[in-house]
Amino acid sequence: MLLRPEADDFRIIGVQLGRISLVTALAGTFPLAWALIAREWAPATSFLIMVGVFALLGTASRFIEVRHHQLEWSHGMVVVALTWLLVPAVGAIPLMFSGHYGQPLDAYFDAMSGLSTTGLALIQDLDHLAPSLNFWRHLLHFLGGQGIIIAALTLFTGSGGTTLYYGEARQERILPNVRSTARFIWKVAAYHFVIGVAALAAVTFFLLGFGVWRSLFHAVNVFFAGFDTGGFSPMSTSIGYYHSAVFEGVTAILMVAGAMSFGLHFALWRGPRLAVFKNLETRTILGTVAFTMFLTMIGLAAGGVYSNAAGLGRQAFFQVVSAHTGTGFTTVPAGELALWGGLAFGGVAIAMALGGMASSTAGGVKALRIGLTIRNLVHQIRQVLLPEGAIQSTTYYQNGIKRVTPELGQAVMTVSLLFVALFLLGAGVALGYGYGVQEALFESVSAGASVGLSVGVTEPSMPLLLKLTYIVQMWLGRLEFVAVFSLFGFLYAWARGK
Amino acid sequence: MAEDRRSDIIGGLMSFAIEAMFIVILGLIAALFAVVAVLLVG
Repeated sequence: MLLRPEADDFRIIGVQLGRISLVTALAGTFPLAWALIAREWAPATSFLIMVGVFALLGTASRFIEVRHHQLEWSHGMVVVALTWLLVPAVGAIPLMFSGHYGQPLDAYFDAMSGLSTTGLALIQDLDHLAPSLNFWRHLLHFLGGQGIIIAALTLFTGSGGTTLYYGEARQERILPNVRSTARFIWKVAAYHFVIGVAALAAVTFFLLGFGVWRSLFHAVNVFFAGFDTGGFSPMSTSIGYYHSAVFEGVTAILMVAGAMSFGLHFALWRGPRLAVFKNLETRTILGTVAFTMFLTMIGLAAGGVYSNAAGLGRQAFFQVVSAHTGTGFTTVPAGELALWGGLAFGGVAIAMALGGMASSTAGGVKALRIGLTIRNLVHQIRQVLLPEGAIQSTTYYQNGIKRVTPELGQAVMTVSLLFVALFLLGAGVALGYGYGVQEALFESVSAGASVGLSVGVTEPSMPLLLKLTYIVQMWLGRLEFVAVFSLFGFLYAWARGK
Repeated sequence: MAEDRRSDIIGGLMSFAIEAMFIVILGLIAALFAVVAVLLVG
């Protein structure tokens, strides 16, 4: 029998959403301060409104009195799913008032794209956007990537944190409790911030001749978008704007760091460092990166898009790393990427769909699931070949030796198939509007796998239904289905339960 | 406390260095692939 949620269930959800609103209000004070210092009065006003709304929601939740229940699994999942709808809605306010969006939905699209670390954008005339607003777009990547939930867990102690943590598509807990894990995640981000921003600023200042403040502005924004595998960039030509192989190299390091699981970060940080290369996930991703890169290069060479091996290698390397890590930075314009065609196009699209590592900010199916699917397939084939009644055990190494069980295989296959369905959903809608098969699939995979590479389908004049479809894809893809399905289940129980 | 901070700094730097090394190796593999691709079908 389906139990209808009680009033207390809604109160618990309200309290948690309020806490998250307060954290986001706090984050919103950074671009507000930036706008005030830079005397950008119009953005400052819109940031003030946004912070005010978040603070109001947060303060209102303090008056909610929870009587009986504690935060349970279902509450946590619903909170996470609603967070990813609420934060872009309020976070889009400054973007909406910027005058750089054709309609409010476009601003919501970009806010969702920012928070889900996708990077597809409907903004117009980005190169003339106020710096504080540009900073807010990139800060959304940081909030979504590092996790507002993680921030809330760090700031507020309370029972039930685990459910919020897992709801945000994080599969592993590195330290004994969620709060210490959350703190470690922040520590990793802080260290990478210092080193990454210093490296990027040094390149722009010494090699590209930018001034001090301009260097810092670009370094901070590119760091947020790179380390959180987001894909927004301060300029409309993305990383191509810098025309620098060194800058691309530093950005690639950040993208890889962002796509690494926090378990791997922990191992690299505390050791044993070489053991990480024994992990199924590490080996799988090394194999798939090499495979998709080779595929892309063969396609580019056959298509004659680039005249020499150096140019071909540089472009394919950057685009594949960007696609595989789910970032979406690019050094080629959308129009040129659309010309790649054939194997090159396929290589980048496959890299996008496969994605980074589990428990990272990267999207896509994820390397561990790919590795486990292959192991499970091998297990099934061996089972068929063995004499009837024989029992075999297939194992894999992932921070220790583990067994491939039928339940694990089934769970992995289910999520992988859901991703395929998600990719087909967006492609189907685009095909319905007359887009070509290739571009419809590419853009849909990009939205569903939280990547952000575009071949030109995503633009302000695209059909309304397609914008909504991509928003749903970004939401579902970032949260890896469970939290969103839990929300639907909760609503269904509310409507039909007893 | 000071020991923890020192170990964190070393850990953070080592982590970034390994990530950088990974990109260098991947870049070299990419260069090799590019040459092979051009020779094969270019």
